[in-house]
Amino acid sequence: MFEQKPHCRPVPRWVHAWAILTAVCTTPLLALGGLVTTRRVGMADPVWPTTPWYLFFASWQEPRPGFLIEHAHRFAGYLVGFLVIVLAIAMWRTARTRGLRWLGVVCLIAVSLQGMLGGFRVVLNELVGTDLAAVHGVCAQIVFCILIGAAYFTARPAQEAELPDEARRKLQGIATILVLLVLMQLVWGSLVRHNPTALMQRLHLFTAFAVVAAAVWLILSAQSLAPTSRRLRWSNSLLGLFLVLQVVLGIEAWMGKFASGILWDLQTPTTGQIIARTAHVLVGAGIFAMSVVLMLQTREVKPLREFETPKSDESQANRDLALVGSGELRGTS
Amino acid sequence: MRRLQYLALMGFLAAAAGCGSQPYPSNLAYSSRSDLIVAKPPEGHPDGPAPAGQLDEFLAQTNARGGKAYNPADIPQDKRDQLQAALMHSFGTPASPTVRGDDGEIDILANRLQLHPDRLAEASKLYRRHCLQCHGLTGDGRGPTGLWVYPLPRDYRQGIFKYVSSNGSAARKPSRADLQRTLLNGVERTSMPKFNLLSDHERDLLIGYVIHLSVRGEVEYRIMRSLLSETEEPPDDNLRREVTVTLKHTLGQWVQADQERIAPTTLPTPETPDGRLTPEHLESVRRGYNLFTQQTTGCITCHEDYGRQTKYRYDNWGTVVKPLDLIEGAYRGGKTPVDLFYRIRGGIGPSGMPAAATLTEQQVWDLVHFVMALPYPKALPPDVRERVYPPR
Repeated sequence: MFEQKPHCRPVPRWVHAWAILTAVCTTPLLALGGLVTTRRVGMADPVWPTTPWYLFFASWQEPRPGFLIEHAHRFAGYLVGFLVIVLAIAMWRTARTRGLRWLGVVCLIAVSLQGMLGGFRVVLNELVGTDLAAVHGVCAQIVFCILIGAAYFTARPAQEAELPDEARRKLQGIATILVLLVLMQLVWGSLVRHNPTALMQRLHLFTAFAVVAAAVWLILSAQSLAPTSRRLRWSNSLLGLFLVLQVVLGIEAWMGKFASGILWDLQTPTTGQIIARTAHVLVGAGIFAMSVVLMLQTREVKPLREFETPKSDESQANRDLALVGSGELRGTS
Repeated sequence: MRRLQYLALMGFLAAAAGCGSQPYPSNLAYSSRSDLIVAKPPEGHPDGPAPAGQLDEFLAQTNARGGKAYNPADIPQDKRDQLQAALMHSFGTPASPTVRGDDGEIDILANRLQLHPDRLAEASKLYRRHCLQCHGLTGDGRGPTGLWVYPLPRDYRQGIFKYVSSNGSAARKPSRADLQRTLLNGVERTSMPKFNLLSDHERDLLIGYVIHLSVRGEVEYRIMRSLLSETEEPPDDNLRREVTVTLKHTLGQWVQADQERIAPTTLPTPETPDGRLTPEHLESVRRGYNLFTQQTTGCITCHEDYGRQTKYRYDNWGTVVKPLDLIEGAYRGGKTPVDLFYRIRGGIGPSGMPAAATLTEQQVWDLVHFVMALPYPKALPPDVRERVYPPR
C-alpha cells in the first residue's frame, strides 16, 4: 500500500512557498489586530460583515483613524483568508501524505473560525464583546502557529536525524513545556489587555518568569546537547532574540499601562505606548511560533510515506477517464 | 502533561470568571471640567472637522474664528475647589453615583427620573463596560477611542442632544424613549453600535446613568460659564446653593421632556412599498418636493442638491457637522416615518437644523414622504425624478 520515500518533497516547491507566504502575511494581520486592541477601535465600525474592498471605496473625507485601523485589519484578514483557501486546495491536491492533506483543511478551518470570532466580537459586542475579543486574540496566536506548522511540514524533511535520540527526547520535552507555558501566558496576556483584573495581572507576571526560565533552559540545553545542529541553532537564536526583546517591551507596556496612575480604561496611549504594546503582542506571537518550531524540530524524524492510490481504484479511474474521453460517461457523474 | 493541561484550563476558567462588568475604584472621582466651554460656536463653514485626536487644539481657535469659548482654567482655584466639592456632594463618584441636593424637591424629581443610588451604581458598571471607551468618564465624549472616530461621540455635558422627540422649547431634552431608541438601533453610519441584545432593564439602567452624567455635566457647565462670563449674571457666592438651584432646574427640564412629546395625530405613510406608488402618495411626495425646494422652508439651503453638496458647519459644541446627504438614505436619528417627523417638526437644534414649527401636520408628512422617497428614483413622481436625478 505505501512505499518508503524518505527525502522527497511532501508538496511541490510552490506550495511550500505559498505556505510561507501565508504565514508571513499573517504577521501584519496580527500586528493590526494588536493595534486595534491597543487603540481600542474594535467597534469603530459596528457593521459586520463588510466587503473585502470596503477600505478602498469608503469616504476618507473625515479623519477616521479608528475606522481605518479596524478595516485594515479586516482587509488583512480577507487576504489571509484568500491565501489559506489556495493553500488548502493546493495541499489537498498535491500533498503526498494524508496528514498533510488534512493539515491544509485544518488551516482553512482555523482561519475561517478565527474570522468568524472576529465578526462575532463585533455583532455580539454588548453580550460578550471584550471577552470574545480576548478569545479572538488568543486564537490568533494559535492560528498563526498552525500556519507556521503548515510552512514547516511542507518543507523538505531533514535528511537524517541530527540528534541522538536521548538528547532529542529531552529537548522535545522542554520545548513542549515551553509551548504550554507560552500558551498560558498568551491567555493571561490577552486578558490583561482586554480586562486586566488584579488576578490576571499577577498571573501574567508570574508566568512571565516561568516562560523566561523555560526558554533559557531550552536554549542552554540545545547548546549543550546539539551544538552542531544548524537548524536548531537558528531557531534557538531567534527564540533568544525574541525573549530579550519581549522582556524589554513587556516592561515598557506594563509601565505605560499600570504605572501611570491613570485607570487603564481611561488612558489614551501615547504613540510610544502604542508601539510598545502592539510590538509586545507581535513578539509574543514570535516566541510562541519559535517554541512550536523547536518542538517540531525535536520530534522523531520518520521517513516520508507516500500516499498511494490503490491499484484497483487506479485502474477504475483510468477506465473512467477513457470513457469521459470517448463521451460515453458524460453527464453520469 | 495532562496535569499541566488541566491547570491551564482551570486557570482560563478562573480568568473568564473575572470578566464582565467591573465597578470603578472607590477612590476615583469625576474629574473637574478642564476643556474649553463653547458658549457660542463660530459662524460660517469650516474646511473640515478637527484632525483626529486634536479636538482641544481645534476648539482653542473658537474665539479667533468669531465664536466665544471660555477656559475653565481662568476660574480662581478656590472657586474651582468649591464647585468640585459641591458637585461631588450632589452627584457622588463613579463608583457611588447619586443625584441629591439641599432641597426636598430634588429627591422627588430624581425619583421620577429613576435616579436612585442603587440603580446608578449598577448602571455605572454597565456604562464602564459598554460606553466609557467612547463617551468618557464624565460623558465628555473624550474616551480613549472617542477622538479617533468620526462623527465624534456625544458630549452629554451641555445637556443637549440631537435626536429628540420632545416639543420645541429652548431646552429640549430627550425623552427616555428617545434614548431607548438610540440604544436599541444605534446611530447609523457612526461608531455608535446597537445595544439591542442587552435586556430592557440594562438599557433602562444605562439611560438613567446617561441622564445622571448629563445633568452633572450641565450643572457644572452652567456654573462655570456664569463664573467666566462678563455678561451673564454671576452665580451665588455659595456654590453649593448654586448647584442645588441649577440641579433642580435641570432635573425639571428632563422630567418635562417625557411629558411634552411631539405627537402627530395621523400616520399617513403606507406600510408597503406598493402603497407608496399610489397616486395619492405620489402627490404627497410631490408636495413634499415643492416644500423642500422652497426658500421659505430652507431645507435646500443646507441640504444643497438634496445633500450631495452639503458644506461643513459648526454645531453647538463648537465641533463640525455636515448636513445629511439625503440621497444616501441613512438617517442617524432613526429611519421610521415618525422618526423623520420628529426631526422635521422639532429640528435638530444643536446642529442648527431649525424646527418646522409653522408647517401643518400634513405638510410635515409631505416632507417626510419626499425625504423617504429621495434615495429611490422609482419612488418619485416622474417630473420630480427628472429634477432630482437629472439625466447626465
